[in-house]
Amino acid sequence: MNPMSAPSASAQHDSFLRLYTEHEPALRGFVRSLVSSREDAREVMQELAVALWRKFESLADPAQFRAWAFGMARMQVLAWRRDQARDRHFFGEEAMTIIAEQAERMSTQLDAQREALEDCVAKLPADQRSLVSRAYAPGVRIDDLAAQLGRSAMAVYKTLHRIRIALVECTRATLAKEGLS
Amino acid sequence: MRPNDPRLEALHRHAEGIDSAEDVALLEQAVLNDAEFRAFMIEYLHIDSALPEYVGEAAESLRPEREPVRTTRRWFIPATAAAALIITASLWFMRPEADIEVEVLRVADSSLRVGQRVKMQTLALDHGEAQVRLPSDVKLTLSGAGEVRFIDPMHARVTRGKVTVDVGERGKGFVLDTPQTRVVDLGTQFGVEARGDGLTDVMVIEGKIELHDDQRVTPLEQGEALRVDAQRGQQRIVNITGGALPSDWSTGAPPKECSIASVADNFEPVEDYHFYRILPRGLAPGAASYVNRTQVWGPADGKAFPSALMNADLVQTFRGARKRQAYEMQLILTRPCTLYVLMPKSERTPDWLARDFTLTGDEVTLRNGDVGSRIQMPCEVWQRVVTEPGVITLGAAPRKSQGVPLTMYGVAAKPLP
Repeated sequence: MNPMSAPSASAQHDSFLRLYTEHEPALRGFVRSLVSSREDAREVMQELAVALWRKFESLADPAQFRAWAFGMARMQVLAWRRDQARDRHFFGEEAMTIIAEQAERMSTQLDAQREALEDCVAKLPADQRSLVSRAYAPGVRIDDLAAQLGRSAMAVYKTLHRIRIALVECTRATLAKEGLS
Repeated sequence: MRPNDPRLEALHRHAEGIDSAEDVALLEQAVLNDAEFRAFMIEYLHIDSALPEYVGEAAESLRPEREPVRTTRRWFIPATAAAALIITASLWFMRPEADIEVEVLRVADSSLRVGQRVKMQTLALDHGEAQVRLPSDVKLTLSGAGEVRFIDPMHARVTRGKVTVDVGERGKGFVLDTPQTRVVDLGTQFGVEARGDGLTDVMVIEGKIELHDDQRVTPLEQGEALRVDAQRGQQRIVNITGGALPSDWSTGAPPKECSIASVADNFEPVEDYHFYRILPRGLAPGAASYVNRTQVWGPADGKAFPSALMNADLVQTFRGARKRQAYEMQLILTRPCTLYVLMPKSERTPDWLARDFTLTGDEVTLRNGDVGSRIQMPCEVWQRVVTEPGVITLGAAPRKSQGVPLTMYGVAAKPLP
């Protein structure tokens, strides 16, 4: 790169921050679809953010950031899986590739669904919103939460599952109404 | 997909990280062979990944927000039920006032004393302000000349004047009758002004209320406001002038020294009931950015809040405005000023912004709930020097390359020295 035309480190950092902030929710969702727990997704995302910043200089066209970052995310998930204990259960590589390809194809729809999610969460009954808030707070263990609520952990898991299904259906219905599905 | 599909059960254990080898095998087969299930699983896990973003907002579990559409938000009542409601409402309105004991919490320019407990049927002021706590824990503030009559601890009637109500935890269901409508609180803070011209203004500061008349129930949510006339007609109130306290609200114009006289948009009159709140000299770290959300403005990481923005006149916008592609906001500016747009960073600068504004190099952030919380969105500060009072039109919120709207921007103005 011509040093005269090279962006300053600060401008590059700024550019990275802007792109990463914009695409982070989509990347987080993408990674989440390839690993088997929220905690796993958090670990991969931490590693991914560092990897993206280190390689950012090699990205010639900022308009390609999203596709590039998705490709990096796939590699990061594969590397992370290799480091995990052998008794962990993972999808085979064929299944993972199919999921990754489909998630990339669906990315515009998934962005719109995340937008619609805001209204769908607001439409949940107050007790369900409260449960989501408590269950998804950082560091919360479901068995601790269940004990506080006087319920079994499995009952809380199942309620959260029903809420997530309801939210998928609500976001699909919203997109259909807006002609985006 | 059937609710008892065993793959759904496996998916829920997979999502929670408590899946077995059998679950993974079952899901893997589904992923390889069933495109419909595969799409569902991807959507389900994306939603799972996005839900932590709602922790701050969902914690305030009585603060829902939805896009209002007038045709669906009113619950029209069948004729027989309406007749019963008219009779019931008439009986309600005929109920006599009663003495209740209130505690005086705050007074300004009034003969009442703070801490005083007094039995009263009517709270009336010629001027000043008084805040009282009812036995139901409901806090009611009467600002300026007005009169409130008490019926019981959960029911009052404002005959004239401006009242702000904070129902607290125990006061859910509190009823405030006005000359034109009945307000039923669903856990919130709201304001009502029974005006001398026969109109009643109702605005929701936080939470949710319902307006009841003999024909319908109209739900209103945080950041929405309506004017009700003698014929029960309803009209959106577009501008609220705010102040330091929740009771410092007015549907009147901002003070003369404020650079912004009013805000309008291109929503149809029946399409949206959100208002814009103008806060004279209100921009500072921690100032609320939206009328219907809890996000606040804060400094960029490791930097001070831009001094140029401190104490600027602020327009609090509402989040739903970002979804409209052809959105326009018109500002009436009263004097030469620097107009600022606090724009979420995005790949694509909106054309209207690049054309009419210049980047200042300053940055601010949107933060979730309070100024010390994590950054939700970095924003760039754009400015335009306006040398003549007049109308300035702003455009739509930025969109991602896929067309999905980013967060709604903020607006502020500071008079030129």
